[in-house]
Amino acid sequence: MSGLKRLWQGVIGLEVHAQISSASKLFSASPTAFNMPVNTQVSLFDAAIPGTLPVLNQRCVELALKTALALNCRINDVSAFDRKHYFYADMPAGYQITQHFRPLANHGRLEFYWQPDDNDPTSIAESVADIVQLQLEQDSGRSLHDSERQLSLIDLNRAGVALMELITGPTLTCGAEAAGFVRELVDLLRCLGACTGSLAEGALRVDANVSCRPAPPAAGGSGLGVRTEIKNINSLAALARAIDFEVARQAAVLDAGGEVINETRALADDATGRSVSMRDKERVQDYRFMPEPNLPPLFPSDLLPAASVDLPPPDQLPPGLRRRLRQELGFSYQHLASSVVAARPLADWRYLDAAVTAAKLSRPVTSPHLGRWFVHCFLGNCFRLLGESAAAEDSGISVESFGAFLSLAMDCAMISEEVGERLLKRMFAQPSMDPLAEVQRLNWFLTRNPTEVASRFSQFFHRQDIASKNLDQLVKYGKFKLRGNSKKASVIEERFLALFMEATEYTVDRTVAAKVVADILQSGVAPPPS
Amino acid sequence: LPRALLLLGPQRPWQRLPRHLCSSSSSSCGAADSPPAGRRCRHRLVPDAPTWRNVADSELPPPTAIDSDTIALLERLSLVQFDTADTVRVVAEAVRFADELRLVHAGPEVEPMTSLPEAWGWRCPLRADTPAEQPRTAVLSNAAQTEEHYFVAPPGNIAAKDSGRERLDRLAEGAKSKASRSSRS
Repeated sequence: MSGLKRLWQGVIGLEVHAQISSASKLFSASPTAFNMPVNTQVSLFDAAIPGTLPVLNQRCVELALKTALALNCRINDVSAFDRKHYFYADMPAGYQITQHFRPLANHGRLEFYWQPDDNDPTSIAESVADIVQLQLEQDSGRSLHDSERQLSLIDLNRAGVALMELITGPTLTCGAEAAGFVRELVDLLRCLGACTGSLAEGALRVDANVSCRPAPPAAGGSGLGVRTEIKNINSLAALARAIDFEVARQAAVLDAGGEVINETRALADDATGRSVSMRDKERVQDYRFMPEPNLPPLFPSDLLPAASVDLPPPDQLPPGLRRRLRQELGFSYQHLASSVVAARPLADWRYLDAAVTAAKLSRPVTSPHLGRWFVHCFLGNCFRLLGESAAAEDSGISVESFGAFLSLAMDCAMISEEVGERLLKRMFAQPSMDPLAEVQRLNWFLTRNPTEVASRFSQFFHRQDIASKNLDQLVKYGKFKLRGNSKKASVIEERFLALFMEATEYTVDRTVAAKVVADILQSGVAPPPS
Repeated sequence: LPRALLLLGPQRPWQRLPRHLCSSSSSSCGAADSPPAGRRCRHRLVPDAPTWRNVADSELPPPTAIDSDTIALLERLSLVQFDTADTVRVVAEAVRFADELRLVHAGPEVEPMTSLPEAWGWRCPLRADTPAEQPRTAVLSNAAQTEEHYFVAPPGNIAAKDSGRERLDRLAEGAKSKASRSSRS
């Protein structure tokens, strides 16, 4: 065994099962409401009572086609249903009706942003995921296992509910990227009204297929390693951790010269992402796929007009919207990923666009602060003061006023962040106020002239409470400086700086003030009272 | 007049098929090669005389081996217990019988037909998305055991304690020892 350790790269593909938001099930007229009493939403067909036949739900096909169009898929001319056979108590018929050979759509793509570096919230990367296949299938029931009494209790309320299965290609590389993809997919499905997208409720289920290959890839081969499948993932964070854990585990196995076994693993610990093997090696599964003889083929082109009637154009769907916010308005990953962004009505973005034009900010906006001002501060105030469903225009603040505010706030030399937040709050309280006039009236402009700052600091320093309360700090500072302990000394400088900034209500430029404070403290001489 | 209408009527998919199932060179077809002039052959898909042909064993591909691993897999997939030595022979014969299908060559241009409606272009019927209330009592009425309106089932997919493969191995050993005993005596 060589002493060199190779670097391994994760290769991840996802299988997403999204429960379609239809009123009735895929092949029967049972209701699909959530959390209803046990076995009250089960028709004779769902219970596989003989003498029943499936009839396809038109709305499910329309919603699946709408999703396929939004994902830029190639819709197939003919699509058919197949049976996938396996025995389990929560699947009464002994087979699941799915689409194995001729699915609804293939070859789609989804663009998304993700955060490569956990520790750096400003890091951002853009990726494209391939949607290899999109198909309709039935859901199975729910089983509660009682190991004490050695039995399972079966609830068939969920059996037969329409699921959309999306299979991605093996292009994802790590847990954060996979989580970013699922987040974007959930926002897209919610925007289309095809699925509620709640991982916690089980409306969206994600299974990850993970393998490793050498990084950089070996020359002359696109060879993919043996993959394992991870199930039982309930949240985005757990998904990221489970994938990273599995990649690390496989890398360790491969480094030790071992081989990865093709198996199914269940996520055991959400916090660490640890998964355990579910099946033993000998188990081989043969689903005996066969075309469903009770369902003639489906021609999706018949339903395309109905599916695309309320499909928003690409730049108004979450992926396109996020791309525009990133490229034109300089939003950072933090704000792009916020679910607030995907849920806002389009009028809000038109409002922001108009305000940016009014503020005469040059496009593309490179400063990342615009995202913070609009998403965090402005919409945050809307939410707090006006309620959850309030739109930007409901604030009463005109586009020109907000534009004036932006031109003040985005220029770091005019007002500080804290002053900006206070100003915005005042604008919400009094929407007709002119921000520039208000700042002038309250004298909230940043003081940047060093002599002015120095004089303000001496005013601050000679207030009774500051000097006397912090005498011990000054003594300590002197000691640290004598000993050359600059780290601890700078801590005390920071403290005085913080007190100073607070006292001036953040109307002093921070860098200038820091320098003034450091100079004065280091000189060891109290500033002259002014 | 009715005959003329028949001739001029719209073409049905089965009317595009060849007139007779078997080719004209085959001697076992008793029907005439072409119908008398002016008369249409009514039984296009059904020959006038039986066309059975006995298939010799040598024409078939080599027989599929049924080993104990295959038996175990078949047991798990079908939930049928293979509990006698005879069962393996029965399965092997059934597979051999089905092997005759491999001799049929339909050609690449013929799409496999899944169901008859597909052949005449019937599209999948669609249903409006309106839910209807469902009868819980009817659904649960066939269950042998229910608990608080849940169906009661055995836990998970646990294999039977005495799997067919072990039973067959034991039977095979028993037969072997019996044979050796009878040969010795």
